[in-house]
Amino acid sequence: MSDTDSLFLELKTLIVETLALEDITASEIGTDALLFGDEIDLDSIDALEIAMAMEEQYGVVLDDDPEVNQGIFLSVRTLAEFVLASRKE
Amino acid sequence: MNALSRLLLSPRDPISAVAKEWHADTDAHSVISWDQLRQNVADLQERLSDEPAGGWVLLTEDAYTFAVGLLALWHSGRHAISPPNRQPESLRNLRSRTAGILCDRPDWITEGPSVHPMFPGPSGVDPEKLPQLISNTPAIELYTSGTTGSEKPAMKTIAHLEDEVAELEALWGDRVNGSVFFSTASHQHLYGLLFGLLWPLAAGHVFQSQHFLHPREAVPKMVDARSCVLATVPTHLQRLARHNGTHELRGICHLIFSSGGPLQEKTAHKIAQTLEVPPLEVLGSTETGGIAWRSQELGRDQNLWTPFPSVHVDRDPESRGMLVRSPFVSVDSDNAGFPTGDRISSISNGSFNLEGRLDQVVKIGEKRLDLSRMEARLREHPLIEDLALLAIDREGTSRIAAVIVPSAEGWGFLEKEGRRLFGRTLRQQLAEDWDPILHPRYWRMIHELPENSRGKLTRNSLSQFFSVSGFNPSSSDRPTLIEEFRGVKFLERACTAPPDLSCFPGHFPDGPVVPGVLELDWAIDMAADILGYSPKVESVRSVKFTYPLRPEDSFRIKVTVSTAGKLAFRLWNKDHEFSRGRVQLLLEPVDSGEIR
Repeated sequence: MSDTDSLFLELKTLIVETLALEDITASEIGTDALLFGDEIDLDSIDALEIAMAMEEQYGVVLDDDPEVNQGIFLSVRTLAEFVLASRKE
Repeated sequence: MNALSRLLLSPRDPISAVAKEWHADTDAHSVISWDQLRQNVADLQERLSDEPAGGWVLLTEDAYTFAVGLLALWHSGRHAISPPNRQPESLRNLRSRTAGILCDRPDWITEGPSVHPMFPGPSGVDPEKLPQLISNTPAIELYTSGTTGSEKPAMKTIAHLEDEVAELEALWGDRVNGSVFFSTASHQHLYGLLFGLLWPLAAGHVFQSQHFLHPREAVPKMVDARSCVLATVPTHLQRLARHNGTHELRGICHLIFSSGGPLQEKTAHKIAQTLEVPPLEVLGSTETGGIAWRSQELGRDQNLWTPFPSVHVDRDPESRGMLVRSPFVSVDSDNAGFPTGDRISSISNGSFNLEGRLDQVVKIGEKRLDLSRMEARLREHPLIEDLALLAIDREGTSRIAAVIVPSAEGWGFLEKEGRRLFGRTLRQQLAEDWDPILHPRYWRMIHELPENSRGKLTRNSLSQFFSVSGFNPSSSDRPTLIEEFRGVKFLERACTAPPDLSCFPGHFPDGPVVPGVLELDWAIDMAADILGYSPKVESVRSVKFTYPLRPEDSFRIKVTVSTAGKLAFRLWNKDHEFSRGRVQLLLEPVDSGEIR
């Protein structure tokens, strides 16, 4: 498993655990599935909680600008890209 | 009709019937006469006059003994305290105000002052010499149901009770003549006390002393009575509507009252169809007594509530909350009336529409949600038979959770399409009217909503569905709960085994199985759920692991716990039995050991 792959799984687990999701497991979340779309169907409160959990776990700080956040919260892949980009800075 | 204050002085045929008592050992009824009642009351009040004055806890299994205790307390210048329930804790809380205890089941009282006998034998007192009672004196302290939190006391005077009983007889007396009154509602609380005991007693109708809660027991006795009236609560009526012998009551049961919570339209119609008598719903509370009544009739859009003749209902212009003024209201309120906490609309000629509870408005994020409105919308969905919503805390944020009783179609859908699609289908239904953040995020599918002994749903009993397995995010070694069926001493769950256990890595990499010890843990956890605390394990008697359970397998697990602390469990699905066993638990004693 590459580093990126394990980051994907970590983020999926973080989502499931933070939100106590019941009808989907980490391995069932598609890396490119829309977080606000059909499969996972998150809402704004969920996004806030995930942001907080990510701050805690990765030390990343999410922007206050909702438009920027929208790009980050598209899918697990975009979340991971954001984490990786923040690490490089 | 006699006022309660002059009840025992009313001229009645001494051999006329007051109550019917059923005897389990012979499966036969005996009849209690007017003469016997008066003598029992005269004897007991004579003994009580030597005992401490004040409030006496009156707690009985049978309605007739309650009547004897109540009248004897009044005639000896004392009043009754009807405890909110018979838990030692509730009785302990009352102790500082309790002068004594009257109870026909001494085994229920495990601590405190000793129980005074209810039938102390002949006293030589002539019942004819008993004086008239003063209406305006304390009669009984009752407790509210505590739907919204803790139970509160409400003191009723004899006047409160006799005015309300007179109103019931004036409204429906001509329809109940010659009928035996059956009640599934306890006489320890206002509704059951009025409709199952004081009304028939004062008006000279016969009442059944025992409460038969299940239709299987009740229907044959009602048929046997040949003509009867039933005072019941929505859950029991729902059960009656589903029972297959209920049609036998057609032409026998002339009037059905339902109170204590909203009666579903489906149930009302089913009963109306089967018995040709539409149930009468009574709206009231411990503080206000009866407020209004209605019957839900087929083909009518709106079934308005009609206030009782001596009740005035107003609406608070700001909160739209109901305000009640009537001779039955027993708590202080300002001139505007007592606020019941119900929201009402469209008052015309005094009638009104009930829109739900004021306190069922919760805040999620910054948005307000009226739980009862969303419940009403979901209840219309073909996949749903009944449901209740609640707000639960998820790490400091509130989210909506739903406890659902699926319809037959709903169970079929769940089996074929699964939980996720079930939830999504319902959320789609809600999307038109509610922001997604207000939609339920957590779902539990069960066979029956949990209700307390008075047929009321309490938010506390709902939150338990979200506090054990399947919710706590840290307990990843727990199975996911799909549905649950709950009895007093057993718990059965349908689950799927967790997909990844913290104990899997390293073990059986080619074919992970759930360790047997974990299956045993789940069973003990469920025993804790049944008992309300975590029991200690004394010994594991016999456990067999017959087939390996794998991650994500669907299975059922059933756990029973006997009063002696014997736990039995079984874990299976349609293909295999995975395990079964027996464990001896060390139970905590029921009371704190404070016995005098």
